[in-house]
Formats: sequence, structure tokens, C-alpha cells
Amino acid sequence: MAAAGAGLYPLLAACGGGSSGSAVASGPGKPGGTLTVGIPSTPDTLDPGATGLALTLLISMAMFDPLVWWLPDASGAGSQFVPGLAESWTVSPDASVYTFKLRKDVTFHDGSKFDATAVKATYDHVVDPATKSKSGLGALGPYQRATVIDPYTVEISFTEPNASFLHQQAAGNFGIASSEALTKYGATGFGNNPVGSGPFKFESYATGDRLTLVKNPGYTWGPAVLGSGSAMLDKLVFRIVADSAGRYNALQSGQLQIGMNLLPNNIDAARKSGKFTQLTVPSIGTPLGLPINVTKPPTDDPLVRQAIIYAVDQEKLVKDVLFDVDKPAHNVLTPITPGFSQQASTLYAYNPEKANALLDQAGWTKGADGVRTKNGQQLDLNIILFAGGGLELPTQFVVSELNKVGFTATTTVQPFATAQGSYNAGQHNLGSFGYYGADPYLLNIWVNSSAIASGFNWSHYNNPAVDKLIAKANTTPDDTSRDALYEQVGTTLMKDSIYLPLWDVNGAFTMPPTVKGLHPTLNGYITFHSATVA
Amino acid sequence: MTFVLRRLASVIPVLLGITLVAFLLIHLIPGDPAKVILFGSNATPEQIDQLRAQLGLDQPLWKQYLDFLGQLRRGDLGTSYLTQNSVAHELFSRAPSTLALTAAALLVAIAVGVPLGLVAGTRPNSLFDKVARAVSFLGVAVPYFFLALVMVLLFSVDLDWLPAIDDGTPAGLVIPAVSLGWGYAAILTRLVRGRIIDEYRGEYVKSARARGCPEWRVLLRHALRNSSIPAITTIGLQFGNILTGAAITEVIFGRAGLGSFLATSITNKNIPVVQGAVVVIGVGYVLINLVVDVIVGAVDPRTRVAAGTP
Repeated sequence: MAAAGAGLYPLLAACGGGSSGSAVASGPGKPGGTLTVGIPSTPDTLDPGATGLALTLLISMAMFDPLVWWLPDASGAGSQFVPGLAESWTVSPDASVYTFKLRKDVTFHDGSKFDATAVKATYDHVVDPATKSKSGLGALGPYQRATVIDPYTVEISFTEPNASFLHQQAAGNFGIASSEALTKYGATGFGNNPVGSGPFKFESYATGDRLTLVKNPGYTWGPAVLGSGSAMLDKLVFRIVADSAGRYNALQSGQLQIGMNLLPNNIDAARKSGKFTQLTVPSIGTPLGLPINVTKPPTDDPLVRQAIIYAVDQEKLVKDVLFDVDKPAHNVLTPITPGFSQQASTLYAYNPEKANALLDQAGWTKGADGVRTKNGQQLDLNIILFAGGGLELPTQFVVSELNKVGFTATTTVQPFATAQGSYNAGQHNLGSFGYYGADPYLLNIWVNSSAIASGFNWSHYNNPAVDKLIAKANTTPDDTSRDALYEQVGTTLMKDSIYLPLWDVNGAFTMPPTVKGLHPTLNGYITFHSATVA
Repeated sequence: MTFVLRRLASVIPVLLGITLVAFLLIHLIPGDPAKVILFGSNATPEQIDQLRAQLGLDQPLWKQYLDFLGQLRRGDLGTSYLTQNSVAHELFSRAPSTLALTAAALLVAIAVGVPLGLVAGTRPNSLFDKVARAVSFLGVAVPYFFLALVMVLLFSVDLDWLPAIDDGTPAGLVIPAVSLGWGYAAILTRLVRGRIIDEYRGEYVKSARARGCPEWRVLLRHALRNSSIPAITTIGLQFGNILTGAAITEVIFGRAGLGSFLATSITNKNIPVVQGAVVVIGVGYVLINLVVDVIVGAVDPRTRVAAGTP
């Protein structure tokens, strides 16, 4: 779910959204105690700079501080930058040089002092080939160097303008690491021995089982919005329980205090039981949905693609299949993502009559059996999903909607690695997708024409104008102008009908009412700075 | 002793065979590990190609297999694509959990299956026998994962007697072991029952009784001893099935074990982990069956001679 690190694992989990926002569970609880969070998959590494798994960032944000926090604002609808390890920062007019003035009172968990060399060491560590960084390297983009100007001033520069950097650096991959620990444990050893400056310190990791963090009593540099001062909890445990029903069972038996991304029916049951509250955190990103292959017949015809989007009632899907725990989606970006276009979201209100009319217009005529044909060919769609993405059941609903307007469809579920190959080869009319991101630049990974043959452009969408527009947006430092460019991209993508959005990506956390003081982040996560269990 | 050595030597061709099959199977699954690793990382196609080269996936298949064997000869199982930790570390840190689960499930199978089969076999068609047969029928018919879920709902969620997920205590092992072991208990019950009925028809039982041997001695010393050989062999052969069941049981109970780890590694095409796990599990399977053969040999010298003759 987070940040640049998105994709597979978040998708696995994403089916379990929730909507009865208890929002920030408020009110001060008692200090002390252990909070055990049931998470759906095993972290690949505990090094936020190296990880390729979004879930790692949920954990790393408890152990590391970024230079600047980027958090939801008080209203929850917008966002704000909040000083972290940097007291202030400036951005060059072309968005290629970022200068940070650092705090002088910060100490890492290993006792070493925080200063500009730690910042440089952290960023150099991410780009070091020995680190084998996955999402961090991608999120960093055209990194040139970090320069220590003085012990408490650092400059990060890029070979070309990189306007997404302030968002990216806050999303979790760039939590500042102790440079002594990086040297001591080495590029990959750090992943087993993470040392940051956050409210919780690493204590132990039982591989594949549980990760235990303990309170950092000296933590005084946390942002006020997250509850400045040291953590309230004594211990924070992340318990890996891959089975979603298992997490709900363990929550009911009291072995977990927070169950992350439960199944929608379990969230619904938890809600109705009155024993649990639900915190649903919307994420920046691309909604869960089905990329439409624009090159394989019959979806190479824009009229057929538009008909598909008009034919599906996302509101009914969310109500009937997802137990109303998620938000229906009508766009390529979620509403909290900068650059989200309201106009693009209104292009395809549910309208089966319009879908029928478009298919008539495209020359597909309905037979007595309700199936449309053209030149003896049936209007047939090949749908390929990847296993565990949470889209199997919702796709059955989509198919029933498509049947009503005259489509037939075959759905196959393939393991993730296999499905990716099928998508790149263009065997599908509809695939499955969904993305948790830190910045609208995430569109580049799945609509850029260079990503068709071996990347993640599973719509096989090839539009050099859009490629250029996205590149231009990411080199535009001014927020308003940049958002306007992304809105233009979003509108174009929806007009070209390359994606059937279904529901918004989010993080879902189910807990008893005794758990309080959690704060949402912008990538579907929560922070534990002021969390309490009693 | 030569018997044990000979059996140990036979492990090598078996291992070569299973590593080759595992290697071919994992490579036959379509999909590119580099893309799985880089999904969601803003990776360019060049970065994907670069990673593929780093992982050695651009090499011809035969070379990749030879490299793997060379590594194996040095006792190195390679590095996990996902964690950058050594595969040996990843596997051995998860092995105790799987061993505990399979051992506990086997214990349940033996502790329930053998006595039930014994009593049922000595009193065929009695009420006890009918109940034992019904229980074992259910044990074979009800899938263990279904049983596991029902037991969790009852004993953890409703009654709050036992943990719903593994908590490292013996209590946390009860539901997984019982649900996984029950089906094997059922198989053992049916097997032991049938054998006891057969053995009771044997001349040596009649002669033992004629000699005035007490009934418990006839049962335990004579009939059970002879019945135990197929039972022990079955237990050894079922070990592989228990491991398969352990994979699903581990997922349900959030146990960090080998089975569930292997399953996720296959879907992610984490090739070094899959190969390493196949080697470790293969060696384990062969060793268990070796132990079984030694026990059977000790119980019944006839099999020892038979195994020793080419």
C-alpha cells in the first residue's frame, strides 16, 4: 500500500476496505502495554530503502523519521507538509535541487547523532547497487547526489527536474538511517538490523512470524499532529497472519488488537457485532479495476470499451459484493490523489442503455439469446485475473453486468507471475490492477508506452502525447500547474476508456474500541506515535 | 549397518532427480521473477532486464541448473530473491515450526488411530467398532482445513479456550495438530483394525491362546507387532501428505513454517527458495523413510534380509 511500493501485496489485501470511518480514534488512553497488529504478508526486508513491498513501509514508519512528513490535514480531505528531521526546506525553481535545514537534537536508536552525513548516507544507500533497492530506487527517479553543505544542511539534487520528490521522500522509503549502522551492517545486512530515529526501536524479528518493536523513550522530535513526544505503547508487535479469516478469528479471540485488511464480509460482521471499530484510510493511487487492452479485438474499438465502462454499476458492486466497506471508483486516480480530475470521474455514470446504443453503433447486433454478434463473431471478452488480487468475486459481478448488454466472457485466474506474462503478451481483453502510490507520477508506470512489452502498461495504451504530458507534469514545480497537467492526463485516459475502475484503494484496520490514538497517512496506512491499547 | 549406508547412498540419485524435476517445473511456470520483484517500483524495462541479468535468468537453462548444483555441492542454497537473505537461513528458521506441527499431527494420528483400531479390531461389529468406523469415516471424508476452521470458531472464537493463531505455546498447537492429524488417525484406525482382524485368524494366535497366553499378551505382543509393519510404513509414506497439509494448516493458523513459505515462493517464482526447499524437504522425506525402514527391520527381521538382497 504504500508509496512507490505498491502493487501485488497491497492488492492482495485491498479487497478488505472499510468505510465506517471512526477516523482518528481520539481521546487519550493510558500509556503502556503491547499493541499487536495482524498484517497480511511477510516483510521482504526491514530496510525501507531496499524494500519492494509496500507493507514494509507501515512498519518502517514506526522506526524511522522522514526529513519532511506529508500527512492528511485536519479536515482529512487535503494534505499538509509537516517538519520531520528537517526544520525547513527550499526547492529550486526548476524542482531539481532540494535543500534541507536539519534538526540538531536528534539521536538514532544506536546512540549516534543525526546530522547531514546520515541523510547523505541514507540516499546513497538507496542508489547503491549492492542494496538492490526496489521501490525506493524507482521513487527516487533521476537522483544525482546528496551534498553535505554543513553538518546541519543537506542538498539533494537531480539530473533533471523531479517535482514528485517531496511527496516521495515522505512516503516511507526514505526514512533516515543511522550512517554508523549502515556501515556496520552493510548494504543488505541493514535489512535485518534497522536503526532509525523513530518512536519505536527494532527489538527482534522471528522470520515469517512476528516483528517486535519497543518504545524509544528519548523520542522528542515527533510532529505535533502525530502526538509529539515518546510513544505511549511499550511494545508494538506486527504479527504475520496470511489468512484473512485467520486475522479476524485472532482479533475476536483477543490475540490481535488490530486486524489489517480483513475480508469485506468479516469487516461487515465486525461492524455489526458492535465490538469493533473500523478505521478506513484512503490511499493515493489508482483504484482497483480492470485495465482494458486497447489492441486486442473487440476492445480495440473505443465504442466497445466505452460500452464496458457504461455497463458496470460500481455503486451496486460496492453495496452488494463488498458489503459497503469500500468506495466506488470512476477514475484512474483516487480522489485524495493530487491531480485527481472531478470531470473525468463524471464521464461514465452507470448507463446500460447508452452501453447498448454504443454497441449497436459499433455494429454488434443482439441475437435472440441476448448475445451480440458481428460478421458471425460473438462479442466475447477474455478476462485474465491474477490469483489473490481480491478481484475474483467482483469480476463475476462485472461479467453479469456485461452479459446484460450482450457480451460473453471467459475468466481465467492465473498466478501473479504467469498473469504478468499474459498481460505483456496482450492475451487479455480485461486484466486486473490497482496501485498504492505517493504521487500521481505513478501513472507513468502503467500508461507509459515504453511499459507495454515488459512493464505494467497492461492496457497496451500507446499515446506519445500522454507520455509527454506526464513527463512535463513531473518537471513542473508549481503544485497548481502540475495538478492541472495530471487532471488533463486523467481526463484523456478516461476518454480513451483504457481502464474500468471499480473501487478505491485503501487500508482497512479493524480494532476494539480500546485501541486509540492512531493517525492515518496518505498511503492507506496508520502511524502508532500516540497509539494506546487501554 | 551396510543397509543404512546403502540407503544413504541412494539418497544422492533421488535428490538429483527431484532437484532436476523441481528446477524444470519452476522454470516451466510462465512468468518473470524480475517483474514480480519490481512490480510497483516505477521500474523501467531496462531496470527489469538488468535485474534479470543480475539474477542469472538470462543464462541458458542447463547452465542455471549446473550453477545451482555447483552451489549445492558447496553447501550453499543460494539467496532469496525477495529478502536478500540466505535461503538456508530462511528455511531453517521456519523448519522448527513445521517439524513441531507435523510431529504433533503424527502423534495425534498414532495416539488416536492405533488404540481405536486395536479395540475395534478385537471386537468387530460391536457398538464400539461401529462408532470407531463412523469416526474414521468422517476423519477421511472431512477435509482437515474445514475441520480446522470449525474448531477455531468453536474453541477459540466462541469458547475462548485455545488460541486462534499460533502463539508459540503448546496450547497454540492443539487445534492445528488435531485437525491435521485426524485424517491420518482415521487411516491408521482402518488399517490397524483390518490387520488385527486378519491376524486374529492366524494359526499363531490360536496356538498362543492354546498355550494359555493371556489375551492382552496375544493382542499386544503378537497381533499388534505383526500389524504394526504396514502401519509404520504407511506413517512414513504419509509424511509427505502431512507436509502438504501442513502448508495449508500453517496459513490458517499464521504459523511461520516451511509449507506455507514454499507455497508463496512458488507463486512469486522465488526460484532459489523453491529449489532449496525441495532439497531440504526431499532429504527430510528420504531420512524419515530410512528411519521407518530401520524400525520395520528391527520389528521384522524378514524385511531386513529382503532389503539387503539386491
